[in-house]
Amino acid sequence: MSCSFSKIFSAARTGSKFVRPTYHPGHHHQRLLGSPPKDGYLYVNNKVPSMDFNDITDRAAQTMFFTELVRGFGVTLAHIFKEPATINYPFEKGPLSPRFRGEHALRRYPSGEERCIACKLCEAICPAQAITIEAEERADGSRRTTRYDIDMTKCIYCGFCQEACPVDAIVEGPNFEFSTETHEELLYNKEKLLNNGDKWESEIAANIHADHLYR
Amino acid sequence: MSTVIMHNNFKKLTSIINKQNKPKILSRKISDSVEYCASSVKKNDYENYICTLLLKNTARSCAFAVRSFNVEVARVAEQVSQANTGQMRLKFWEETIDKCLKGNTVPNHPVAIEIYKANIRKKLSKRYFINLISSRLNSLKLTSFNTLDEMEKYAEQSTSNVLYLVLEGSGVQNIEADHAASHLGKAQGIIQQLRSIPHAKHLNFISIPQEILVKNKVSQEEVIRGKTSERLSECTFEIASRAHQHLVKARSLSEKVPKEGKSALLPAVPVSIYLDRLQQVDYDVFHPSLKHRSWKFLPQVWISDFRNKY
Repeated sequence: MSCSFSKIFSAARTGSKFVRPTYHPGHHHQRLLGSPPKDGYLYVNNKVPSMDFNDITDRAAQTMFFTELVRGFGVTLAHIFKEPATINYPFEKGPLSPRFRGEHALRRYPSGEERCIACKLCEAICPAQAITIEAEERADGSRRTTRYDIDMTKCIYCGFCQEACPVDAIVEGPNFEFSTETHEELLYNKEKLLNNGDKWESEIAANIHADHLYR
Repeated sequence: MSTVIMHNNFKKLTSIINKQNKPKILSRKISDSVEYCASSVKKNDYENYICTLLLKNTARSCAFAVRSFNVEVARVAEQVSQANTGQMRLKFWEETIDKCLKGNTVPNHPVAIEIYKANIRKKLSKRYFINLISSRLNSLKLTSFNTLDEMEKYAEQSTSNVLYLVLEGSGVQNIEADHAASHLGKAQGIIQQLRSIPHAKHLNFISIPQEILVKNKVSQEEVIRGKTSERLSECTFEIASRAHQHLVKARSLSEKVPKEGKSALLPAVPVSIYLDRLQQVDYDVFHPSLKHRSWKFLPQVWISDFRNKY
């Protein structure tokens, strides 16, 4: 008797281990959307789909019937009314940083005189050796370039020439549409560079503008 | 405007130049270079431009030459990405100053021509120009100052020397005037650094001295990100009070400064306006109201000049 009693008692003890509800602090109640996860982690991977018979049939029905199809059409329709993400390129242009380094230009002073004084600092600093300068003294005593060539196919557009220029003569303007059909057309001479400067002066001047000395 | 300014002086100048054997460069229309210098100062250094406009004829053209030169060398650091490129440009200016003051072959740059002409009218000291260049040269590789004294020294070199040259251009050879200019230059230079704090990221330079940052437990990142905090205001306060001391000292010397010298020291007005406004916003340098020019600026400068004070 006492033996059987003790057996029942031990069965109850082991049984209570299964029956007793375990306490999980994280899953205590449903986490609300937007509230920070209690344990500091958030499960971001795809949930394994439930394999209940009910759920399986639900999913099959959804695939078989038109809901997905209709939703697809819905997305298409919505995009008709959305603003397009692309621009109509040659007619519309994207935004450009004021520091953009594009095609080179030689600037002039507002009086029309060319800025370059043939100091050759740009030629010296050019890492690709794309710049060639020849200079001589003019009849009025000023030192000017007779030749100022840039090989645009050698140039790596690092912008060092514009940094080195003490008189802000050579600049890399905002123009990036200067593709040509032949190599020779990309060997720029002084005339071409000065023309570029005249053409792009307003944009270049606007990009250089600053309103206060800070250092 | 600037054409009109220079016109009165123009005949006198041409006669001076014709007497000497003039370099052929000056055959270029004289008003061009004047206009260029004035517009570059106006564009890059508006407050000093206004103060310079109020000077008398010869002094004004000298002051524009000096100030436009200062614009050229001051902008080098922000225009270059590598220190040695900046060194090249500053070397160019060093050689140019040498040529302008000797007067044999002046490079055909409007600023150089103006300095050459200014030097003919009133003898300018070369060492002030050299100081201006060397201060920029030393700061090319700098990313911040260590101590407030270091900052003050830089302010003295980069700003007071401009004022010395403006005083020389006004024909003031007075030790008291120079003393006042030294203090005012320090104040102005320090204010300039305070103003550049919101641009720290763009300039790659944190202008609050490290010593002060450490003392107030402000990280450099906070400065770069432009976060307003009470600790940062403490830093600003400490720097601004140093500028204020120098301003007060410069103004206390005003009795002894001769009349012409006082208009050369007019930049004290914008300095004191900025300090007042900084105080109003509790030394928060990032306050949006500091980005705009005060409406009081123009009338106050004019009144100070009219009453011959600074």
